[in-house]
Amino acid sequence: MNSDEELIKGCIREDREMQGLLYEKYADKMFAVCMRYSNTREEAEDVLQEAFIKIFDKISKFRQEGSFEGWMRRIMVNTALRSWDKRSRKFEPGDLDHVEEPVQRELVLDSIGVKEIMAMINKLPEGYQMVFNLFAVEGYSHKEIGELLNINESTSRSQYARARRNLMTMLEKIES
Amino acid sequence: MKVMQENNFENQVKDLLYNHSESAPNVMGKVFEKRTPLYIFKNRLILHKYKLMAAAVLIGLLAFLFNMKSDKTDSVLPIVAETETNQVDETPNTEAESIENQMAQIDETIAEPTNTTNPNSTSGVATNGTQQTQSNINNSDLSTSSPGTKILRDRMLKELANAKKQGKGDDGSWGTGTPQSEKPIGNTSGEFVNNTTESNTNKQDVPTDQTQSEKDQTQNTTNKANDTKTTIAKTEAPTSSSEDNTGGDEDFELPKTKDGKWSVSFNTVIGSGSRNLDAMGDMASVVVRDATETANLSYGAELLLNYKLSDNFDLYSGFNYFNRREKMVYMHNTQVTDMDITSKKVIEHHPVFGTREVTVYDTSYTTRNVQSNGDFNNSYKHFYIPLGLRYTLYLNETVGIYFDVNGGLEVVTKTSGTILNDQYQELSLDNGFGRTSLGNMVGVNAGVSFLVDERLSVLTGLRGKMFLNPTNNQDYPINQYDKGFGLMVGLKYDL
Repeated sequence: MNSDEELIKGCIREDREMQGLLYEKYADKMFAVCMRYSNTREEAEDVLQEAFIKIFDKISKFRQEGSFEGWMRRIMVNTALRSWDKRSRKFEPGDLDHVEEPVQRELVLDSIGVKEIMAMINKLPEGYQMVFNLFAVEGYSHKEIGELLNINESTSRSQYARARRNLMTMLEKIES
Repeated sequence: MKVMQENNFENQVKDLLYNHSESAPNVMGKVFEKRTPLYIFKNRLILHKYKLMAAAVLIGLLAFLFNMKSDKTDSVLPIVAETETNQVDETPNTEAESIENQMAQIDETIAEPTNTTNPNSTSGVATNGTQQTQSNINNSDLSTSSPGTKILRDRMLKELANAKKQGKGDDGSWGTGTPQSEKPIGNTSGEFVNNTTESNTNKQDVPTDQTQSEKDQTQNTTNKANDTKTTIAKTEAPTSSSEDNTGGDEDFELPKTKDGKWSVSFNTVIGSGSRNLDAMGDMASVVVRDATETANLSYGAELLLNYKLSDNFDLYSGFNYFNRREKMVYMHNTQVTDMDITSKKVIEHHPVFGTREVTVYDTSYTTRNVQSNGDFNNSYKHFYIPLGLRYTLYLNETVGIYFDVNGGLEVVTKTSGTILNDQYQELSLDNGFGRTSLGNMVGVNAGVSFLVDERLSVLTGLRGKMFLNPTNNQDYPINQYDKGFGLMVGLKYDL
């Protein structure tokens, strides 16, 4: 198994075999990222393809300081967001002040798997989905999300709070 | 039981989703393909295809409406419409200079296009009052480069030569008593028409008083000055006041060219096709295929809608079908080795084990040639929508040379036939070919167009095209790019 460093060097040389190996190594994980930001599998495939093109194009610019996977993931997310932006960018209007605080309670998730939680997230409005995925899964701050999505930081917060509350409601229903 | 507290909700979700994997499709082939600018262009076309189609329809509609509303001022080809000549009088033994004089007069008129064409002035070309031929030239748009003028001069020269050959003696006189009747020489399209030929031969035949005769001739010259008319076609709008002086010139019905912007054309092509194989990864198969596949007669057809951008440029689009055909013939010998094993029981006398029965195996090998052969007709059918720009250089009113370049969006590729792999195993073209995604193509054409009538043109020429996206799909590892060239014959009809 080639290390990331070898793969990166191979990809910089535009060695197709190395590019193929890099793809094989990360495609599944990256595809899951794409799926979270896409409505359909076809759209996710397109994002994956587009993002890998960018990765192969820009791989020489990767400074081997941070995680390579993280760098790839960021490209995936950015590509997915651009795709969403072109497709149907829509945020639910709202302000943080009007968002009720989630009820502090315990939630039972033993029967909740990845598919279920993803299905629940997919039921959220698209704006909520994006902010929730970026904040809760990818770990972006609200400030970064604001810059990524070109929205106010407060809007990001309110979107996230609403998304979180909706998810809680759905979880409660499952629990009951 | 897994309990998720509110304060670690994000962590729980992250744990669940961050490292989650989904089985990804293999889009690597597309990734490599997509790295090319053409692929990116194609993807943009696909992404925005509905917008593009809507825009194209809108533009077409607007252009059509604009075209409908705009004045269709029919252009008129400058031609010689009608010529009337009148042989007024003819006297034997008289210098027959009339035709030369006519020529000189025409030349003078050409040299001075603004001359008024007063019949009296042109009548002066008759010499000695014995033969008067009036050439009344309506030269409002006459120029030395006018095709009509050239035709007129040619005709006159021919007429002169014929006249000299037939009737003019060595002394330069016409044959005695021989009336020189002019032949009617054509009608429109730059030819003469002898509508009102009058030969006053009776006057010549009847002896009369010489003085009276001369008087009569003079009178005839004056009266019939307008009878002989050599009219060179004028263009649509008269630009000279001389038209007023032509007194009696008729309005000629000149053929008019259609000035519409739109036209349709149907073209057929026969020729040859070939393909480039990308040898990346499977050179052996490429070698086998190159050795077994040969081009066959290919053909195609297209229906185009043309829009005239200017006098020389046309934009066109439509639908094109091209069937690249090839022959795949092979004969391959394979050496097969058969192994034959026979056994027999023998009695063995062993110094230690004593006498015993053992089984002995004999193995023999037989090598034989196995010949496989095949003969297949392969077909790659390309359906695409071209968009092209045609430049036509008109040599004259009817003949033009055109050049055009076009690009196209390939919508469907269908294949049938058989190819070989590097082991000389037959592979059906149905598997691995017949790409259904959109592709790009480019083409160049050059040839000649002939205007048959007001609306119809015949086009013929050479054309070449190349398909920029592989004909094969992802199931076949060698990228194949089809191309073709051939002879095109088509018709273009102005709407």
